[in-house]
Amino acid sequence: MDATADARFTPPPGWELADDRPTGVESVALEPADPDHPGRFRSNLVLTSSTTGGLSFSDWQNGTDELLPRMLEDYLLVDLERLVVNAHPGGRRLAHHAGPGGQALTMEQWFTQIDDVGYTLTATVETYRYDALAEVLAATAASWRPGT
Amino acid sequence: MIDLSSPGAVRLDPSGFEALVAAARHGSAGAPAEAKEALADERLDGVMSVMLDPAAVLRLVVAGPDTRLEHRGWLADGVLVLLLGVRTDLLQLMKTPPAFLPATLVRLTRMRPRHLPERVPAQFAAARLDELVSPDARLRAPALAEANADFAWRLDFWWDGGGRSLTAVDGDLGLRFAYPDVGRLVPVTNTFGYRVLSTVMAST
Repeated sequence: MDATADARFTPPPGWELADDRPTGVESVALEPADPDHPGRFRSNLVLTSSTTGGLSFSDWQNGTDELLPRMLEDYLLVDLERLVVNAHPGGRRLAHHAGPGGQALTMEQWFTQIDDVGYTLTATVETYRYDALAEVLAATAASWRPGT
Repeated sequence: MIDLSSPGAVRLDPSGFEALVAAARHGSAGAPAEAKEALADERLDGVMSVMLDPAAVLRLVVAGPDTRLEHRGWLADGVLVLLLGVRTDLLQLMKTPPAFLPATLVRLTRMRPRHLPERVPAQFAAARLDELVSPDARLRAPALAEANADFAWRLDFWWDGGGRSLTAVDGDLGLRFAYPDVGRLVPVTNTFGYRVLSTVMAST
């Protein structure tokens, strides 16, 4: 399947869309690897979709709020807001967590529900780079067309 | 008092902290036994040297009408040492990777999502910003009431050749930053606040 066609969002300039992605993941965009820092965490955007099993938008997201602290180490919710995502009711959350390699990571997530499907676009970056990348990530989120 | 009995961070009172610093600075000969024992504790490996010769220093005061906590930090050689105020008479000494400073500041400033009403900037004289975090509750409480804030915080971060200072209030009206040059408390999103906190160390 063509990664670009599935992305439904415009990745930041220079980021690559991965052809190989796990089941349930529609798109993965990675920032270019830094040859000077080969082990450095690569900022990424991950687009997922899944059935919400008849849950309302609020119940789906309340469940997500309960799940994330169990999934992510040292999870810390910073911001959460309702907003419109491509003309659908949605939201955005900002959180901090520790990565598998002990990195301090910042996660920004946009989400919406269309019919019985929940769509989530998750950006993860090293925290010290979040401020520099925030506008680019927001522009990518603004380009996102879930469910199309 | 220096409590080494519990796992995790070392807990101590202000006099225990002063004894610890004196022992580290002047040598442990003649130091109180608990200070000597603490200096030999592996949890303080690399801690005292950072405190005595930091590249940057931070102080965070978080104050409500009735309570006021002061937290301090020292940064050097990829280590951030934190002295957290648990209560006015109880401190917690620990080290953490500097990359986790923003998350630590979020926790200490109690930044969290809130249901917010419509918000507008409010006048607040720059000359009175100190009152928001004053050690004197007789000054602090009325200042917080005037600002319509549940609590305030002041972050000072300085290093050789520079420094930054930021005052904010929070509560039912959400996070608001003080802009002393215009004498205003300006509503900001938590995301904006987080971005600012994530860049605190960038200037060093």
